[in-house]
Amino acid sequence: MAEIEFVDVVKRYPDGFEAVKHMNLEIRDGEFVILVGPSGCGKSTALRMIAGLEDITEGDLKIGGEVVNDLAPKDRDIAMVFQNYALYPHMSVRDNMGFALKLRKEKPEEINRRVTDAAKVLDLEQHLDRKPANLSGGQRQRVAMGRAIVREPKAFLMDEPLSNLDAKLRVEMRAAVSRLQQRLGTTTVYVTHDQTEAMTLGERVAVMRAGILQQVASPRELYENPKNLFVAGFIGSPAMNFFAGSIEADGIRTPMGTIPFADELRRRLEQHGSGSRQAIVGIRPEDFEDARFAPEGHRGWTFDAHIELTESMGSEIYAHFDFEETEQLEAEELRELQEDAGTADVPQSGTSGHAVARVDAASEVRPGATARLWLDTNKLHLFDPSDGSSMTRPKEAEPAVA
Amino acid sequence: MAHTRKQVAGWTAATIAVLVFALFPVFWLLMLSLKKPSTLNDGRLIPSSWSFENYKSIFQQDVFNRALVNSIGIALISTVIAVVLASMAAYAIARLEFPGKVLILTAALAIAMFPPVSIVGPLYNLWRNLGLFDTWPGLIIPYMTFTLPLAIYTLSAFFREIPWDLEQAAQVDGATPGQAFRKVIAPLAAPGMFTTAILVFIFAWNDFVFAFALTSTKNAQTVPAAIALFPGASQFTQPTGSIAAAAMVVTVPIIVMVLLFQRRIVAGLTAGAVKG
Repeated sequence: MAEIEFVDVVKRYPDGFEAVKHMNLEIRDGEFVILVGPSGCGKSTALRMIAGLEDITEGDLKIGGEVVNDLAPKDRDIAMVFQNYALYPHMSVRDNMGFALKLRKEKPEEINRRVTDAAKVLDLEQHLDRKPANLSGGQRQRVAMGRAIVREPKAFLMDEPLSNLDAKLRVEMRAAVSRLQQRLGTTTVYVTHDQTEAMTLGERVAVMRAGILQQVASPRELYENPKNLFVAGFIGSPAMNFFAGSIEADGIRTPMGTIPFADELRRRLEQHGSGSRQAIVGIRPEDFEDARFAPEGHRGWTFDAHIELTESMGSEIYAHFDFEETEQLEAEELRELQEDAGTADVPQSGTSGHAVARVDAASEVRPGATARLWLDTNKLHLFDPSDGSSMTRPKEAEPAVA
Repeated sequence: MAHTRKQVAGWTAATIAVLVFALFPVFWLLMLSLKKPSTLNDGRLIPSSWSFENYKSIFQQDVFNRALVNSIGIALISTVIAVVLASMAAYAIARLEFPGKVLILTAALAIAMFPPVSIVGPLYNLWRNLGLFDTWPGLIIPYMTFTLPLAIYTLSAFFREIPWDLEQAAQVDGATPGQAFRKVIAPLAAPGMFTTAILVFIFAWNDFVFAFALTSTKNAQTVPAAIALFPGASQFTQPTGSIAAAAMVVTVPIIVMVLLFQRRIVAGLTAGAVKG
C-alpha cells in the first residue's frame, strides 16, 4: 500500500510531442482514482509512467514517498491489468497467476495458497488448469485481475480493463472491480475513456485532455461544479447542452429568452467578475423538464420549444429541440469540444442549434409540435468564451487540482 | 468449385508430368544405386538383379563415413550457432528501434545473396594463410554468411507475431528483460526457432561450393564434396554406383525430414505475411 505522487511530470517524445504536460497529482494510500479523458489525452501514458513502462522526461514520480523515476518495473512492486489482458498463452491459469510469485522465489505452498484464494474470490476455481485460449473474454479478464491480486502489491494499475467486454458483462465486472478494491483496500489507478465507468467507480476522478489535468474531484463535484467547458461537456450522459449567450444587467440572454438571475447564481457570478459580457451557457438535459411536470417551488424558467425528435427510453423521454442562436459567438473552446466529441462534422444549419432535454416519461411531447419546457435556473452553468473556464463555480468548492 | 471429369483428368496428367520431370533423376539415381557394379553400363533403367553392394562398399570406405560425420557435425554446429545468434538479433530487430537497423538488415540480405562462387577464390587463400583450410571452423564460418541472414529474417517474422504486451506484463510481474525473454518469449517462439533450425540445417547440409573449395581431406570434407571425389575401382572406371548410393544416403534423410515437417516449413517461410 502506498501513495503515488506526480510532481510536475512531463513526458516528451523525441519528436517534441508532449503527451503529459506538467502533471501534479497526489493519490492517497488506498484510494481508487480514475484517469479519464478522450483518446490521446495522455492518461495511458501517465499510467505507464507509474508502472515504469514509459520513461519520465521531467519531474518526479514518487511511490510511497520515494522517487522512483529510474526504478525498473520489476522493482516497483505494482501490478498492472492490461487492456487486452496480456495473459501468457503457453501457461495455465494457475501458472499465469503464480508467475510473479515464482519469479520472486516464493515457497510453492505459499504460491498455491494465494492462487487458490484469489481464484475463489474471482470464481475461477474450475478454470485453474486451463489455458487462456480456452477461456471467454470475461474469464480472461478475471485471470488478469487474479494475476494482479495474488502479488499483494503496493498499487493496482488498470488500463481500460473492461473495454474489450460486451456491454452487459462490463456492467457486472464494474461492480466486481469496485467490490474487490473495497475489500483489498489497495491503491488503485484506473484508466478509462468511458465517463460512466469513471463516475461509478472512482472515489476521485482526474479528467485529462491533451496531456493536461483539467480537474480532479469526486464524481459528484465534477458533475455539479465543472471547472471548465471541457469537463462540463465530458462528464454526464447525454452531454450538457451549450448555448451562446450573454450576461446582461437584467439577466442572462439565451436563445430561450432572457433568464433573470437566481440569487445563488448572481452571487457566484460576482465572484468571477462583473459587467456585461458574452458567455457560453450550459444546461444539462436533466435540468430541463416538461412545464407540466416541473417540480413545485423550484425557481425555473419556462419557454416554448419546437420539438424536433423524441427518444423514449421507457424511464424517461429525451426531447431534442432546436433553437435560433441570438448571439454570434466565436468560441474556440466550443469548437474544440465539438471536435473532441466528434460532433464537429455534424452540419448545423445557419445560426440555429439543437439541444436535448430530459422529460418525464408521462410527458406528451411530440416531434414536430411545440412544447412548453421548464429549466432549473439554479443549475445554469456559465463559461467564459475566451478560455472555457467556469464563471459560476463556487470559489469555496474543493480545489480543482489536488 | 466443382471440377468436371475432364478437368480432373487434365490436372492429374499435368501433375504427373511435373512429378516425373522433377523426380526422374532421383529415381534414376535410386535404380543406379541398386545395380550390381558390373551391370552399371548395361543401359537398363530397372536393374536386372538387385543388390546392395554399392551401399555396402561406400560404408566400408573410410572416406564416406568420415564425410558423413563431417557433414552432420558441421551442419548441426552451423545451425545451433545461427539460431542462437539470429534469435538474439531478430528479437532486437522486431522489438527495438535503433539507428542503423535498416542498414544491418539490408547488409545481411546483400551478403546472403552474394554468389559463393566468386568469393571462394580469395577465401581459399585467406584460409590457407590463417590455417583454417580443411577444418570444421573453416566451413562453419563461411556458412554463417547465408545461414544467419536466413535465420534472422525467418525469426524476426515470428517474433513480430508475439505481442509486446506479454513482455511488459512479465516485466511488471518482476522479470528482468532476460527472464522475460527466457520464460515468456522463447517458449512462444519455439515453433519458429524449430522451423528456422530445419531450414538452416538443410541449406548447410546441401552446400557444395564452399565444401568443395575449402576442404581437401577427410578432416573436414562433407558428403557433397566427398561424393564428387569418389575414387573408382580403377583409374579408368567411374564410381557411378558408389556415387549413386552415397547420393541416396545423403538425400533420403532430408526428404524424409522435409515431408515430416513440411507444414512447419511453409509456415516458417510465410510467417508474418498475413496477420492472424
